[in-house]
Amino acid sequence: MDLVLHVGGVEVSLLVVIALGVTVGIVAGMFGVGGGFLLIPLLHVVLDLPLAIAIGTGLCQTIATSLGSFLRHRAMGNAESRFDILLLGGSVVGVLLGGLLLESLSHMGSVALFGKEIPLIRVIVTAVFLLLFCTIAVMLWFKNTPILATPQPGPLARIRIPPYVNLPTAKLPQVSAFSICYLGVFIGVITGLLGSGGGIILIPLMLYGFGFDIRTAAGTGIIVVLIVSIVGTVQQAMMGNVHLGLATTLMIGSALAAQVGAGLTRSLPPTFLRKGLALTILVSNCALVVKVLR
Amino acid sequence: MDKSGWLYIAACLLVPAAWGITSAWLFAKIDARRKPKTSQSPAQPPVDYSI
Repeated sequence: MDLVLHVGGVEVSLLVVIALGVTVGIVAGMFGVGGGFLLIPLLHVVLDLPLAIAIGTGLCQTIATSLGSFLRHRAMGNAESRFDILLLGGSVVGVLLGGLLLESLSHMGSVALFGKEIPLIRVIVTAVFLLLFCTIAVMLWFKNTPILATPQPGPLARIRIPPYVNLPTAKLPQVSAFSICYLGVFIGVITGLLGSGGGIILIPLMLYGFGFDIRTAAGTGIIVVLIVSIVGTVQQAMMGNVHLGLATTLMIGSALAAQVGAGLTRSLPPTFLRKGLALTILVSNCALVVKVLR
Repeated sequence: MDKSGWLYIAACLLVPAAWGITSAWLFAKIDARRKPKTSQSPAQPPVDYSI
């Protein structure tokens, strides 16, 4: 007997959903990310789910992974709480704007591309996905993680628009409060639009944009990802885009597999992990493009 | 885009700005309160080794 779930008019096998959850969990645990960047393309490409449902359910699943990460990092005490507070103000309004954008895109009809009628929501979401995640993949592939003892302020930390704040845990003085708040808006819009929790975008921005050291970057921002995921999920649920049965099944598979992934991290060299994450991002993006054009 | 859409975009620009100004003011107050405490701590008296 094959157990199935009915999601958005599509019949999906429970075993396939668990396998997807396990795959995403291993990757999320290995690279210390939420896994939304991989889950959304997988739900859309492998399970053939409508993009809006893939995004809503992906956001819901991110609550579980980011909650686990938040509890782990809180115990370590590496977070720059001032950065989190500033980021939160922008990201909450941003995620609501991203959700509204997604909703209005889903009513905008379709465009002709390569002799095919493709819904506009798929074209725009795939284009933003590609642009953003391919940039991150290239950065991860070519740039080394900074391991300086005293952090050097990055380009975003050098923006001269008052008022300024000191970030004591990150050891960065006089950083523009506006640069952090509006970065929050950007992270929120992307989260609401793509369903990706924002962690994978935040980490490179903190490392290379602000000049955080890797430990502080890993501990900072996860509370924002958690809150933004909750706000985004509530908004998507009100639009009918969250399938609770699917999200719960994915959560169980990914939560258990994330522990295995985290264990694998210790036995693999950092360069392999960095380049492995870049390759995973590129492959999931290619799959999304093939799906849109097919 | 209808009026509520534009209002929402305006809110997205204004709310983070207000949040940033309030937070920066609050953090500056916390920093100012911490600094006098460290400067007021009594200096260690020089050790007199004379016999």
